[in-house]
Amino acid sequence: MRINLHNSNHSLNSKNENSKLSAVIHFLSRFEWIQIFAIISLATIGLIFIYSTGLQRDSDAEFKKQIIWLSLGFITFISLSFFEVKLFKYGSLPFYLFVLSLLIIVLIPGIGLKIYGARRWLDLKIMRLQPSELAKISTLLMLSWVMSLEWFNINKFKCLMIAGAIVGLPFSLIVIEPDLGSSLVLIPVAIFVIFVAGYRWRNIIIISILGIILSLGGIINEVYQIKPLLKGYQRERVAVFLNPERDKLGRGWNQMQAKNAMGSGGLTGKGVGKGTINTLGYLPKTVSNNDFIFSVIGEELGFLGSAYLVFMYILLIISTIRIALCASEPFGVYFAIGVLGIILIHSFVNMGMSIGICPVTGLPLPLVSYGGSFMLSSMIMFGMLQSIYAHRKRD
Amino acid sequence: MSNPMNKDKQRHNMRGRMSSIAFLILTLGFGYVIFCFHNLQIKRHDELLIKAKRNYTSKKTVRGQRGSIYDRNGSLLASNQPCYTLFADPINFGNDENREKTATYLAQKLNLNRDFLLKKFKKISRMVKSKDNKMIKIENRYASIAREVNFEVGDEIKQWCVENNIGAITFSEQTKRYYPKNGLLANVIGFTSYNKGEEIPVIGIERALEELISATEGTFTFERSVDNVPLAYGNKKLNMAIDGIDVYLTVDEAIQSFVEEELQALADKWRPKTAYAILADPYTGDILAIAQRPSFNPNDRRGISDEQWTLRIATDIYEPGSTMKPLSISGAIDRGLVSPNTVFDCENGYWRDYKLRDSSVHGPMTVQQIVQKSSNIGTAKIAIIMGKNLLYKTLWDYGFGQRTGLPLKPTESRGILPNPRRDKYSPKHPQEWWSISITRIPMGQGVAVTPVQMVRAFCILANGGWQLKLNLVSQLKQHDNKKTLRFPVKRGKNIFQRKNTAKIVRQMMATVTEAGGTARKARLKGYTVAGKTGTSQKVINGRYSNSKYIASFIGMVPATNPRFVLLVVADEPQGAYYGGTVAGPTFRKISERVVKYLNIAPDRPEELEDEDKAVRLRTQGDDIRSISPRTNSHSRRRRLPRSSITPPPMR
Repeated sequence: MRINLHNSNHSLNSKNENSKLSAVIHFLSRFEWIQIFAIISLATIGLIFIYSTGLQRDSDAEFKKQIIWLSLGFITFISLSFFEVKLFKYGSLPFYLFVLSLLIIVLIPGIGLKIYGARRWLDLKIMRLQPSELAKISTLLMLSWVMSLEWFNINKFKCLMIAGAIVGLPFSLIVIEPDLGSSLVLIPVAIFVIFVAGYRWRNIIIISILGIILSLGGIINEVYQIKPLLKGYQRERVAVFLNPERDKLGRGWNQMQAKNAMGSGGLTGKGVGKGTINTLGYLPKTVSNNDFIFSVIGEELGFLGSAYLVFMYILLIISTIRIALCASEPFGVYFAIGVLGIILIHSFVNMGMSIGICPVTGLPLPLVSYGGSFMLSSMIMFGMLQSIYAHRKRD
Repeated sequence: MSNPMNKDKQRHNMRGRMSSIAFLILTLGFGYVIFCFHNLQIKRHDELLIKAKRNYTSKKTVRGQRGSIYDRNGSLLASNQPCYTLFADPINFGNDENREKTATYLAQKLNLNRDFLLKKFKKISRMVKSKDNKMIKIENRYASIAREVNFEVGDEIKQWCVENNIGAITFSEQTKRYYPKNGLLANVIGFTSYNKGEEIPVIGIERALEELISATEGTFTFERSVDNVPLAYGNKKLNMAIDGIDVYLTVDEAIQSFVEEELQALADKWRPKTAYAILADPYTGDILAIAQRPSFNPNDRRGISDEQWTLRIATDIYEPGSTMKPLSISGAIDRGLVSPNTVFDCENGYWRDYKLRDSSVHGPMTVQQIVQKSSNIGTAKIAIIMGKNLLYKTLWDYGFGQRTGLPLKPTESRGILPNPRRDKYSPKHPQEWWSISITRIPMGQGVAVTPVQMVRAFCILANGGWQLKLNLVSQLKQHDNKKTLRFPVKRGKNIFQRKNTAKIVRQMMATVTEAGGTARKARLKGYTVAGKTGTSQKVINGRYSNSKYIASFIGMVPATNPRFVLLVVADEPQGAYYGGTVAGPTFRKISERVVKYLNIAPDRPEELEDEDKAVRLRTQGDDIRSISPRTNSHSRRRRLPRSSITPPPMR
């Protein structure tokens, strides 16, 4: 009792206390905890495996950089979660234009940094920025804002064209870089948002049929080389994807090693830092901590580890849908659905790369892969989602 | 569109659509992903693990080191020396200029034929038979250059290749057999050769003990990184490559070198076709030295002849001649048929009954004199008293006709000791006695022995009649865990019925090197020497030759208490042929050095009185410390311990 004296003094004013408690509960209920749990889980796994892949060359430089990026991301995440949703709305047009200009700047030789034959990076001296990562958010923001405007009706052709233009501009700029992987993310995102916005089923069916015909035609076009649109390296990637043995020691190498790595993990894996394919350098160090980090996880943590990771993404997606469902205005719904699309495409394609069901596109695994730009932009998106959730309609 | 009803409907619509997206994604998308994981990580786990392992595990065959060969004191006689094997990748040279440059350099550096090398370097393709039996052309990426290149030379070549930017030469580290003492004990140790990269023992101990000396091959499976560096922490499986066992011979390097030097001197002086010398410990049967001339240097075998490198000391048989006499007579003395003082008429040099001749004319002589003067007629008469069965039994007990047990390749010969059970001579059974055999065999004619058999027989006589086997290997040691295997000396049975037979015979033999004996040149100052000369005519085309002899001398020092038995044989010496003349002096020279080396106490110290007393005192002092002198010939109960033969630390 003596010990609790201090507390009991406080409880004298129990009414006050109660209201304080409810304030705390109210404050805590601002946050979507499922999402935070998933983010922390994934980011931790990511850090562990960036460290593990760093063992390959005795370097923890990436690990340290990632910690910095992650901290920066968390700060952004928390601050954004306190922002008003209005701000995002009003900020979306300037941000969109800003990122568009960055996408143009990055294409200018001498400013944009060319790595592995693609001009994707802006060298900001202290860090390298990938405008295409920002473009995912800015486009989504812009799209969500425009579509949530009073006059906007997705089923009007004009409106659809506007939406198409919003997505098409950054899309084509990113394709020029070239970064097909990043640009392709925009398309399912747009489709998701347009679908959720209530696009007519009739049109959906027509477009689907058209799409199927077009893609079939495209495939035929590529296969018979009538008027090939894909560049040589892209063609080769597809070909190698379909048959990794085609280029065993070259482009097919990574895919085969990733598959071997996944498979050799078994149920429980070889243990962190003991994945032979990772640590022995069979997965090149240039990809083992981003594009192919999942196969390292699969090798070192096995089926249970990879299933856990999938479960975390499912949690993340469920929480995103939850946010979308309770968002107070269409902007929030569209944005959340768009984010869902981005996470989904990234995680699905990245995992698919490791198990050989998706071609190697270079999409990072959200929150796990090494890479500052995408980490930061993911955290921005999740921060905005938190804000949307905080300003949800409470029933 | 803008009315609230519509908005609500739209809202509802959105919810429905979102739910459907969620359902589709979660069930189809991630369900499929999980299914794939399961498929890949659980179902195909084994398959992919093997595939992955094949990628990052390497298998290497490792060979252990061939065992080394040491003398009894651990002095190295044969071991392995690291060296390079050089080969080239003809395609990697790039251009002909490089090929020519390299060929010129290597030819000069390694003493090879430049054009031959160049031809190898220029052969960039070769024909092979394909699966469907067609000849197809494939790249030739292998050209051998040289084997057993010393490290120093190899490193110079390496350096040169780096400087001249030639990456076509590969240096593979291997070991080669190396004999640090060069020609010492060469014939007995033997040597190894290479056949398709494998070390093949050719002759001698190397071949006879191949199963012990040779290393087993092991496989080393290890995980390696993509740039082929084995992992320190990876799974390793070492299928043990076991090093060969080290062999310690009974040979004493110092004594061996005395024997080799003196035998070489004999070879130089008398130019025999072959010469042998064997020195053995009569109590243990350990061979302390064994030498053959001509010999060779195993480290440089270019141009050596068959005579040089073959090991004949245990396979060559010869008629021992008079050295057989004391052995034969010992049987008669043992049965009490004669005593040293029994007198026989030596027929004045020619015994008509058996067409037997002595080299000098003698009348009646005692048995002792018969031995001293080496009378054929006297020996024959004693043998006739003995009868053929006793004579045969005596010689058989001395081990003639039986192997001595030396681990040598080619396997030692049994010699020829004719069997007296049949009297008729037939070409089918050469090992039978015929009418005059009883007079010829005791004097060493009509029997054939190997040098080692002769040494064993005299060892038996020297140790008081105890049968023994000769040893060449004193111990075997495992290279890594130092397990040692020694060979305890097995006591054989005693061939004599009377205890003093051996002593009496040795006393008689001691007179051989005294005044009036046949081998006064074998006399050793300060020591009694019990020995016997042997001079036998060689059989050429079935007849005894009058010009080709085998001269030998066998003896033991000191006669009263023998410490070693030494045989010196010269086959076809030029200029002289008596054993006492040719082999006797060599026996003395070797013995002089060996008694000093082994610190054997002189049994006639009065002869040494005029020499420096200090030397003698020191010798005696050492002797007290090392061994207690044996007092009689029946010393089997105090068998000489092995260590007593090893020299004292300071000489």
